[in-house]
Amino acid sequence: MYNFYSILPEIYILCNICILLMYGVFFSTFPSLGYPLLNKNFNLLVLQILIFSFLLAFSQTPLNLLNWNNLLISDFFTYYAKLIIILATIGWLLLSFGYSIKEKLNYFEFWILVLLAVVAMLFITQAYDLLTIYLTIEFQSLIFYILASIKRTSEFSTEAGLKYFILGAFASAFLLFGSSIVYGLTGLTNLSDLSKLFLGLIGNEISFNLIIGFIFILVALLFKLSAAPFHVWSPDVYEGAPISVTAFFSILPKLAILGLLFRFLLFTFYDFISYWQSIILIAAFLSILIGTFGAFAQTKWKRFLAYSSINHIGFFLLALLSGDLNSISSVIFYGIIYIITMSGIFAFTVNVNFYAYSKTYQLRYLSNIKGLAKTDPFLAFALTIILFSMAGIPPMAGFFAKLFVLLAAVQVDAFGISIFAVIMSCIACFYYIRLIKNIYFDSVINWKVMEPMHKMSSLILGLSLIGILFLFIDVEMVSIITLLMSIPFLH
Amino acid sequence: MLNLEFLNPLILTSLTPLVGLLILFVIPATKESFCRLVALNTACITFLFSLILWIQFDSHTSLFQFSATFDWFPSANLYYTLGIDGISMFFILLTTLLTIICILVSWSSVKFLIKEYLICFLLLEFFLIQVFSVLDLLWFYIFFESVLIPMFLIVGIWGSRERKIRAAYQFFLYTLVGSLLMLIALLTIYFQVGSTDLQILWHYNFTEIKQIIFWLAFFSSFAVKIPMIPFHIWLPEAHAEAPTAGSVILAGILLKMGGYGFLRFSIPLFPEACIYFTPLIFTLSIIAILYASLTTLRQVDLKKIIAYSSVSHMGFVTIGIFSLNLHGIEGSILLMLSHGLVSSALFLCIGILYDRHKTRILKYYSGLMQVMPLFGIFFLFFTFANLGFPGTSSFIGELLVLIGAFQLNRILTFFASIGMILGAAYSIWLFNRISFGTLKTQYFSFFQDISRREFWILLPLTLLILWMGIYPISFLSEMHFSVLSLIEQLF
Repeated sequence: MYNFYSILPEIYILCNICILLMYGVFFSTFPSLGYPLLNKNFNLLVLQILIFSFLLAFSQTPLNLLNWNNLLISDFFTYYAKLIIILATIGWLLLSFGYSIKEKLNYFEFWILVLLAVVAMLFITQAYDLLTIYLTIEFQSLIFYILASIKRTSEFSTEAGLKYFILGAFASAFLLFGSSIVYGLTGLTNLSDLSKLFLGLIGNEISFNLIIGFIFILVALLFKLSAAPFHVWSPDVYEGAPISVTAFFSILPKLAILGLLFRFLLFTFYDFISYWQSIILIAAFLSILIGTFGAFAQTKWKRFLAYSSINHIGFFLLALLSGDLNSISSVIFYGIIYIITMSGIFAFTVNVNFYAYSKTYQLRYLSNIKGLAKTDPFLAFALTIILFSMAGIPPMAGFFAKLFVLLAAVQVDAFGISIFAVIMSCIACFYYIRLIKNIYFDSVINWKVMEPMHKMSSLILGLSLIGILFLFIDVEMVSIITLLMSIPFLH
Repeated sequence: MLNLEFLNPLILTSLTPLVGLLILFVIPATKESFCRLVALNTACITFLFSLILWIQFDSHTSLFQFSATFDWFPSANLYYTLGIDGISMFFILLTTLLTIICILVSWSSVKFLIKEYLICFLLLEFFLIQVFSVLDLLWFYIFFESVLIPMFLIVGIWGSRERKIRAAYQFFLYTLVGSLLMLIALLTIYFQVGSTDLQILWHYNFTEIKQIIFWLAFFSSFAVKIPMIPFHIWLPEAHAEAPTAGSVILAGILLKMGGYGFLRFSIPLFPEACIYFTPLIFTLSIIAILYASLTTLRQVDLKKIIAYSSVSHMGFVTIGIFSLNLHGIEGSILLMLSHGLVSSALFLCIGILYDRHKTRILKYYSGLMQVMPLFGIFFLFFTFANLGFPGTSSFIGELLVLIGAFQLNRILTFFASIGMILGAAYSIWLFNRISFGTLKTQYFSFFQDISRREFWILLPLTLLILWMGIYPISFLSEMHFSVLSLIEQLF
């Protein structure tokens, strides 16, 4: 019933958060030490905590267990999703290591918030009840609002946090409203009970109100995923937040929310497939469309990446259409490659600083990378590979991700949207190779000195590069993990 | 124990460029001459291995030889299968030969980023060898697309003028749009058959309507690559802007990938669709031959002249392929090989002129025979080879194609023959304008005949063209059985 073992990593992190909080509060206000800045110290401590919690999560056995009064579930999906989330957080931590020092992001609370966000995401993957789903998503969202506005002195950051908060509160309200409608009509909150209730229902037997409740929940989840047409917040929030927070938003929460979407669509509300399929289809269509054409007009890296990730979300949803085992595993495959690619590109964007006489400035505009091939050939090469992968050119990892997604779509005869997605990804290619053009072909007028990247982030960049370049040698290895992760969603 | 399977010459041929590439990676870029030597030696060794392929090739069977299968993704029934037959062997030989020439030709003309340049060429060689030897539809697609990456960089970085960026874009996007439609067809085929292995697919009968749709999807990709007339816009641009070696490999091999794709995939997989679409192909080819020949007459850029004449020759190739009889197909293969040698040689000649005078506009050249006699003789020979003079390889190819076409349709043959006359017109006129007349000393006052390196680049090509023209049976006898079995699959 109360299985502490199943949430051991979360408990471990929570305990450590308390200790860290006390440590931070005591020491940063210590006059005799001269009010020390604990930033670097905290960073390392958080790294250590994450590594230990990774080991704890790794040592768990992936069993199909319902515990905590059927509020939480642990299965293959949660097992691997936890590992991936913790690993991705470690990667994110390493890549934002240099940034926090350089930008003097000296709030130790930042790292504690990050840890809390990780706990929230770990819980989201396990949530198995409308109640826990609402609580965990709200938990995560609240932390994200604070993270977006962490840079107190910056107008943009505050604005981003506020925008995110207002719009996110709407989405949370939708989620709560939808859940309460479903609860009011059925009297059930547990996902598995609901799925048993809905089993075998045919179109006209489903009450209209129930569909309304379901759509409310779905909209809230699509909002959290920043799928179009609920994407409007994401470019603004991405742009306003400090870039390492942007990296956090774009790398981490997608997988957790996707897991929740799987549970909803493919498990609990599977019999509503005729309703949600068209919603997902429209969302996929719009996401790909807006992601592609939105990115065209951008001149700033952050907004560019925001639209690019909306485009990727479109592909996630495209694969979800068919709603079978293959589609889930292809979504997870895409998700893993998305995390790897985004880690790589953010390792670059977060850490590149230019020095033009008398001041240092961050990479902000897309045109800043002009002439990179001359100033730093290897970095240029790495970025080129990552961009080709994002464009989906074989034999990079991004191609295989798109391949499996399209395969899943073709299996349900969704030819129209597949051809549309293919043509859009061709158009998307145009702006990815525009960046490559900036790197290699363009002549430069004002030469800038590039400061060397932080060691840790170049480590992450290198790892992501290896992942992208050499994944094609053993696609099966990743696909076995994705297949295992998709098993729990079978009926 | 030594695994003897690795001594398969096909695997050696495909891996050698990769080994050279890895060695190049660790050499510091400042040691330019050493880089060049390593690349040249790698290319030479690859060529030797590919000669072993020819020596050991058994011409009395239509089966795939030197075949090797590797488990790549066995759970999804995807394998990596290599093997060659009479159709693909000569393309591999052509690739390895032209790579040597490309590296030699850019010995002193490439001034910057030499290491990266050589890496691009070895990578290109690797991909091309794979394209011609892989027996799996998915892997063919992967390598077919991968070729874009190095070629895009070669055109974009080392191209000669500002227009190169536009050319690189056009090249990239045209090819990508074409082949992405092929991807959808590929996925549908994979979903339907459950395998992408070529030998399995050959025994699968698609329904007629599916054949037609798939054929069109494949056609969109191959027709862009060949290029057929409405899709040819990228070719003159890319040729004109690429560095000499880039043009050589583009004209020599990349164009052949389309023809090879028709032979290897379209004809055996979709025989009924092939017959159904024969009139379309013939019409497009005739238009290509006549229109491209007439366009050639009014070009002023030397490289564009050769590029348009390539389009016209490729019209012959498609007529040959879709005449669907022994003469036509063998003729088209021979014409492709011959065009690979002749047009490469012509591009080399123009590269020689460009290296000396830094212009490719026809207006500035005249009377070169007086000051560059050796060059003039070579240029004369290649011009005559280009127009299909008896004794040169193009003659045999075009003759066979016309014989093949004559059995089907006499009007078609009549128009194709007009193409030959027009070919003579533009070739000889080009030669006249460059080599005869008075020297335009108001533009150039210093002249230099070809150097020893250039002589030794051009001489083997001359000998090969003569060999293929005088004694073509040594090439044709190797492909008889493969082509016959290809035709058997049709009827």
